[in-house]
Amino acid sequence: MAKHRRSAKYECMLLYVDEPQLISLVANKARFVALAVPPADEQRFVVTTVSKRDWASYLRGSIDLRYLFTVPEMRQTYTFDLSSMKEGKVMMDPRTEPLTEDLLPSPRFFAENHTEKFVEEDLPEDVERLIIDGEWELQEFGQFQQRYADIYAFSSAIRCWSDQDISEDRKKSIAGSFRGRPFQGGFSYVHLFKDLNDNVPYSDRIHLNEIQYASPGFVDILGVDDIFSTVNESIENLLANRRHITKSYKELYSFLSKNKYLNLAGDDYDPNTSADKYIKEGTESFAKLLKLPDLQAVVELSEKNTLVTAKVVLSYYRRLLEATSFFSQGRASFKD
Amino acid sequence: MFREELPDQCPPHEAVDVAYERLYRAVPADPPLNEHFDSHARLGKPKPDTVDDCRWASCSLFTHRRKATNVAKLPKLRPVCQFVAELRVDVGAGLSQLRKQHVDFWFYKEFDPCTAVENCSGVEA
Repeated sequence: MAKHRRSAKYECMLLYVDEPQLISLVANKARFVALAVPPADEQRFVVTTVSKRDWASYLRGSIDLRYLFTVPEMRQTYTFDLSSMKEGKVMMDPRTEPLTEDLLPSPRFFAENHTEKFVEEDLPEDVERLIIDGEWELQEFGQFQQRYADIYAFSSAIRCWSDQDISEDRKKSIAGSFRGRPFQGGFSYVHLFKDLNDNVPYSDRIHLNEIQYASPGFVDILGVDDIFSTVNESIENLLANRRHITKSYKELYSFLSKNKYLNLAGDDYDPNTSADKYIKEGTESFAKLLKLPDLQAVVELSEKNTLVTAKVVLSYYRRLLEATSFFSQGRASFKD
Repeated sequence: MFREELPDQCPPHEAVDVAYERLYRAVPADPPLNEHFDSHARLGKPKPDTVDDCRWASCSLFTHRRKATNVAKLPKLRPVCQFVAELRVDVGAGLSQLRKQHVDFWFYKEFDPCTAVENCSGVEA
């Protein structure tokens, strides 16, 4: 529960129905969403703090408005009167009581209902059509999409890291996805790819645009052409050179396994070990076969930790392999 | 010329006189009354600084029923707007500006919103 009054700056309107119904406020790095509430003849709003991650999820329609006001444990709630706004700022009073039902939005109010365009809402405009054929179980379809998104997010992160025009904030977010993880087991990789997906800017993020399930059918994905090209080249390369790539993967993986490096935390790795040269060269050779877009970026993001770099590249391969398997089975393809 | 008194430079020059096969508005009654299409300016409500005078004098409608229904479930509209009216609007009804399936409408004086209502049903329907 919030304890103190707090000032916030009006950012923009999100929903207008005869009057503002939903608005966005900011204060330093914090974001707030404010919802108009009764009485009808006043301009009262209830406010909740919104984390960066929840805000991104809300904008892309993964969570509804009610979620923002009811679920996040660390949320703080306030109220204010829009008529008291001065020089674009409002003073918000903390609410000590939980929001009652009459002040909450009904379930299933998603960002698609906004009447105003939020600056970060611009969807990418390039369309990648993947042809789908054969039989698909529902969970397989989700798995395919997830792996394709993982490869896309990884390629996007690597591309941004090496781009001088990308903001330092974005680069810090990307670095944060890689750093501070032990990379001892599967959870580190799951969280790495989840973070990478979350960190793709809304304007670059892939969105499912249309599905036609038939034999053959198609999936139209909105995204950025350059990143689609990188993903598709990686898949085509693996399809064409699978034997060599798999052999190289097994060699590196076996070496790490036999020497107990798989269970060793990145921070506990000694770069002066005699194995360092082998791991480094094995990773370079594997990345070359894999046509990894930019190994140097992965090295930098892994803080030049040879073991972490190797593990990240291996985990990228496993996701690429899963996505590619649908192409090798003939159930997905790039062309009719 | 317009149903309500409008400020200078209003409607904006982007607003156009076009027909809409269907428009939807959350309203308090079935059938709705003409006053249910009044702007907040006409109702004499104080305007927040974040809204310009011209928009304050407009009437909000949606091009999709689902959107009108969804907004009617928000806290400020929920106690008041329990119905969604469906209108057919021909050219000559007024000037409008369409953005993200929401329409700001400035009706002409001769336009009677109630006669344009073809259907009205509960929000939950």
